[in-house]
Amino acid sequence: MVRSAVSDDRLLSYLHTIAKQNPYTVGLILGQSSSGKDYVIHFAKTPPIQSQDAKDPPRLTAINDIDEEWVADHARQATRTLPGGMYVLGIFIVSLEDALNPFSPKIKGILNCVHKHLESQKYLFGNTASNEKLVLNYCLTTQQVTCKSFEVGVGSVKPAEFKFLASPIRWAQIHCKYQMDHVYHISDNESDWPLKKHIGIILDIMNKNLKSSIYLFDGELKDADESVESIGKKKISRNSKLSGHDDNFKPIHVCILQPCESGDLNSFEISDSGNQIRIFGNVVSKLWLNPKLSISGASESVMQDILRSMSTRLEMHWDSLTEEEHGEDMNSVHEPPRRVLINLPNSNIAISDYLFPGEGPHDAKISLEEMLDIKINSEKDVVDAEGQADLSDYYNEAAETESEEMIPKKTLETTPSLYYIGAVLALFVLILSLGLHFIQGN
Amino acid sequence: MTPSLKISQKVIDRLSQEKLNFFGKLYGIVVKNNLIVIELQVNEGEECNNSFINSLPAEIYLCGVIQTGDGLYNEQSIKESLSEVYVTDNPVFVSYKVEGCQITASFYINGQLEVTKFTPISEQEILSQFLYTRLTTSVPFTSELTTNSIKESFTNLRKNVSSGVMTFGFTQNNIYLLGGDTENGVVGVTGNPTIGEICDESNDPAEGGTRKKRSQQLYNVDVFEVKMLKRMTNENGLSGGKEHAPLCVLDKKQCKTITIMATIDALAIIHRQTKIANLYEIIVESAVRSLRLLESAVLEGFERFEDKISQPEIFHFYPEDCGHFVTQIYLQGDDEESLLQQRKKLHQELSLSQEKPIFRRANRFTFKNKLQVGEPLINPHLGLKLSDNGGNISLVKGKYTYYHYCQNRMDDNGWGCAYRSLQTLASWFKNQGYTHKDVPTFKDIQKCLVDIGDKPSNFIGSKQWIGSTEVNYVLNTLLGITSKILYVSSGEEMASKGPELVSHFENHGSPVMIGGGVLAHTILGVDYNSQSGNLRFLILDPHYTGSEDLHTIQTKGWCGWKNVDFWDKTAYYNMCLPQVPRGI
Repeated sequence: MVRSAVSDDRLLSYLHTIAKQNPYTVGLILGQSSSGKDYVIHFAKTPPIQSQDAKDPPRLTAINDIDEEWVADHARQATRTLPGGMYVLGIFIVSLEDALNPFSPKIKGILNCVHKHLESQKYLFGNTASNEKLVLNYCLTTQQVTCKSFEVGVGSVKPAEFKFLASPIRWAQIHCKYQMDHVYHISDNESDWPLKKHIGIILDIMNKNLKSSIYLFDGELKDADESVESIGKKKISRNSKLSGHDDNFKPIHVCILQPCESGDLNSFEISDSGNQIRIFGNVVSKLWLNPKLSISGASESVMQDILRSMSTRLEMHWDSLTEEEHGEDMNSVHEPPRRVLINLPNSNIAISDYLFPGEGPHDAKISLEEMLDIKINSEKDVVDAEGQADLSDYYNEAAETESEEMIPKKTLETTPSLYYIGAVLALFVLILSLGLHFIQGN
Repeated sequence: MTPSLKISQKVIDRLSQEKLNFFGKLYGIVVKNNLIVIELQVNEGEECNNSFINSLPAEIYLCGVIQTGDGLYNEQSIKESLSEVYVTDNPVFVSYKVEGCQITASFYINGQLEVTKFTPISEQEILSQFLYTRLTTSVPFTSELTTNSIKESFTNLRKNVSSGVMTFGFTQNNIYLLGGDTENGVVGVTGNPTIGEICDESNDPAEGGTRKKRSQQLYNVDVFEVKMLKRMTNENGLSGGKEHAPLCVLDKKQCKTITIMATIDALAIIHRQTKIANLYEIIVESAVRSLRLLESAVLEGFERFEDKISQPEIFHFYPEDCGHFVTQIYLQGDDEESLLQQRKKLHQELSLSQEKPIFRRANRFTFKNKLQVGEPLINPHLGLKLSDNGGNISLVKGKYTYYHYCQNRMDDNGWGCAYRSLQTLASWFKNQGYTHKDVPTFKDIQKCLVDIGDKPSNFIGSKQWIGSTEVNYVLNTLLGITSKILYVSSGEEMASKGPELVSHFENHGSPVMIGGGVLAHTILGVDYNSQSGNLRFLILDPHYTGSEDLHTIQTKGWCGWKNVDFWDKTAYYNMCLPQVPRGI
C-alpha cells in the first residue's frame, strides 16, 4: 500500500509563498500518523543558520547546501512543542530541480540525521514507530509537488502520495491533567549522585507506571482496538445514532489509573539519612487525535505527551543550571519551566512552549514564531495552562521543618532554550544598527 | 423488628471445650437484619486487646460480649461494655454456663437485655453465603525512625488510601471500582451485578466444574483477588491545593529513616448478594485494617530492635477451629521460637488448643492461583461417600497433599510408591505447621538415607525401593519426627489393628504409611465397628499414574474405603505411625 498523506490546502499556498521568497528552502512536516495514513497539520520552514559574524544569513543555493545538523536540531526543538501523538513526520524541500527523482543522497543524510537527533532525548518520543519519514518536494521548475517515503535504517525509498484537501481534517480533542506527587527516597549509596541522575530514574519509573496504567476516556473503559470516535457512543441501536458532529468539539477527558504495585516488593531499608526528592504539580495535556485512532494508540499518545513534556522541561532546566547547581548538596527547590499552550494559526490545535519563571507570554510568542514560522496575533493567545507555583509557600514550609538552609534556584537570564529568542534578538539588533547606520549615512 | 441471631458452630464448639471463667468480646457480621457471630476473644485480665479487630477480615466487627462461668454476671458492666459496639444498635450478649454447657444469648434492645433464640451456623453455610476479597498491593512508605513520626506517616498513608483517589480493580474480570463521587462508580461492567454473580462467572468452568464433580456440594473458601490503582488525573479541575506546574524539591536531612514498600494484603468477608458498587468502602476498610496491623508491627518491632528492625511479613491463617481468616504480621528476623509468646497469646485469646500449631508461618493459608492447574491435590478424600461399616470413623486431621506416581514429570512407576507415601506424610507435617521445610524430593530422601549410613552412596539416583523403616528414618532425620512401627505378619492380621489405628488417628491424626512385603500405601483413616469388630481402611494409593483429576481418583478407588481383604494375605506389613509433637 502506498503511504498517503493529507493536509489542509492552505499548506500548499504556504509552499507557494516560501518558494517565491527563496528557490531553495527546507522545512519540517508536522502531523500525525494513523494506520498508514499521515495527517499533516503544519509546515515549518527551518530558520536560516545564524552565522557568528552577524552578516546576512547565507541563502541556500542548492540542496547540498542544507546543514543536516541544523535541520535535525530544528526537528528536535519543534518536536518539543508538539502534543503527544504529533510528530515531525518528515521534511519538505523547495527546489528548482526535482529532488526526489533521482532521490538525492543529501536528503537521505538529512533524514538519517533527523532520526538520530530525535532519538537523542529520552522520552521525547520524536520518531514514530514505523521509522519512515516523508519527503515532500515542491519543484519550482515543474511547479509539481511530489512525495516519497524513506525508511531510516533500511534506507529504502518508497512512493508516497500527498493530497491537499479543501475540507479541514477532523480531530478528536483529548484533555488530561496529570497530577504528579512523587517522593523519591535517596539511598545512602546514592547520596552523592547529581540531581539529574535521580530525576532520570524518576522519569524511568514514571514511564513504567504510565505504561502499566489503565486509561479511561470520559469515564469509559474501552477495548484496546476500539477507535477514539467510539468514545461516548454507547451501543445503541443504529436508528438512534448520535450525531457525531457535536461530540467532536467536546474534549474527551482522560483518567489515568496507575497500579499501586512495585516490582520491588521486598524493599525495606533503614538508612542514616532522610534525603528525598519530591516532584509534585500538574502536567496539563491537550491532544488532537485522529478519530480513527485506536484506544491503545490514544493511551500511548497521552502517555507520550506527559513524558515528552516532562523530559523537555527538565532538559531545559538542566541546561539552565550552572555546574555547581547540578551537583549541589543542599536543600533546594527546582522550578523547571512550565507549559504554555498556543493555537496554531487557522487551527484549533495547540502547541506548547515552556516558560521559565520570569518569562512571559511575549517570550513564548517570539520563540514559537521563529521556530514554526508562524504569526501569533496576540500574546493573549498564550495560555498559561499549568500555572506558576508560589515558591514562598515551600520556603516557609521548609523553614518550619527546621531543615537546613533552603536556597531558591535562581534561573539564569539566558537559557539555551531561548536560543531562538536570542537569535531573533541578535537579528533585531543587527537590523536596527544597520538601519541607524543607514540613517546616519544619510 | 428484632434481629435474628446466628452463632458460628466453631464458636459453640470451642465454648464447649472451655472450662474457665472469662469475659470476652464477640465479633460478627451484620447482614440486613441478621447478626452472625463469627468469633470470640477472651479478654486477658484487665487489659483488653482492641487491635485484634485488625487481624480479622473487614466486615467482621465487634458485635457483643460474652461471659462464661457460673451463668452469673453484672448486668450493669455488661451494658457498659455493649456500648462500645457500633456496628449494630442491638449488640448481643452471650452468657455461657460451663456446667451443662448452656448458652444463653440476649440482644440489647432499648436499654434492656432481652433473651433471644439463636441458631448455630456451620462453616459450610457461612462459605455458601460469603466470599472473601483479597486486596494485594503496595504503597511506598517513608518515615523518620521515631515512634511519633512512624505513627504520623502511617496516619497519612491511611488517609491517602481512604481519600478516594484509589481505584480497586478486579483485574481478572476487567472491572474497576472508582468509588463514590464519580457518576458511576463502576467501570468495565454494565449494570450493577453482585459479587457472587461475578465470582461464579469467573470461576466457570474450571472451579464450578470441580464442584459439580464432587459427590457432595462443598463450598471452598472463595477468594476474589483485588488490585489497587491510584487515580493520577484530575478531570474536574477540583483540587484542594494550589495548582501549578511540577516543582522539584530536594530535601536532605540527617536522620535515621525507614523506607519500605508497605505491603497491603487485606481480606474482607462479603456476602455474595452484595452489589459490587457497594464494595468500595469495604475494601478501603480492609486496606485500613491491614495498614493498622502493619503499623503496630513496625512500632512494636522498632521498640524491640530499634534500627535493627527487620521486614514485616503478612500471614493469613485459616484455622480449622475458627472457620475464618486471622491475619498476623511477623518480622522476618523473628524465628518461630521467638514468636512463641505471641502465638501463645493468640491461642489463649481465641480459646484455641495449645497442642497443635495454628499460627506458625508454615500454617499460612495458601491462596489458590487459578493458573496453577495440575498442582497435587489437597485432601482428595473430602467428598467421598462415607463408609457404611457403622463404626466410629477416625480420620487424618488437617491437610495433606496427595503424592503419587509420575508427578513432577518423573517416571517412578513400579518403584516410587513408598517415596510418594513418605512425601504425603511429610506434606502433612508441613501443612500443619510442624515444619517449614519443603516436602523432600526423591533425591533428598535418598541422600538422607545415605548420609545416615543406612544406604551405600550408589543409592542416590537409583530406583531401589524403600520401606516403612526408611520412611521412619527420613521423617526423623529431616523433620525430627519420631514414628511408631506396627508389624503384622499377614494381611489378615490387619483386621486386629482397629483399636491401635483408631487411637492413632484420634490422638495424632497424621497419615500412616504402610509397606512391607508388597506395595506401599497411605492409610488416611479407619472405620472401626467395635461391636462387630469390622474394620475398614481409608486408603490413599500412591500407584495412581494419571493427572490430578479428583473425579477419577475418587471413582476409580485411588482414594477410597477398603475392606480387610484389600491386604495381601500372604504378605507381611509394617506400618509407620508418625507421632505428632504437642505444642504450638
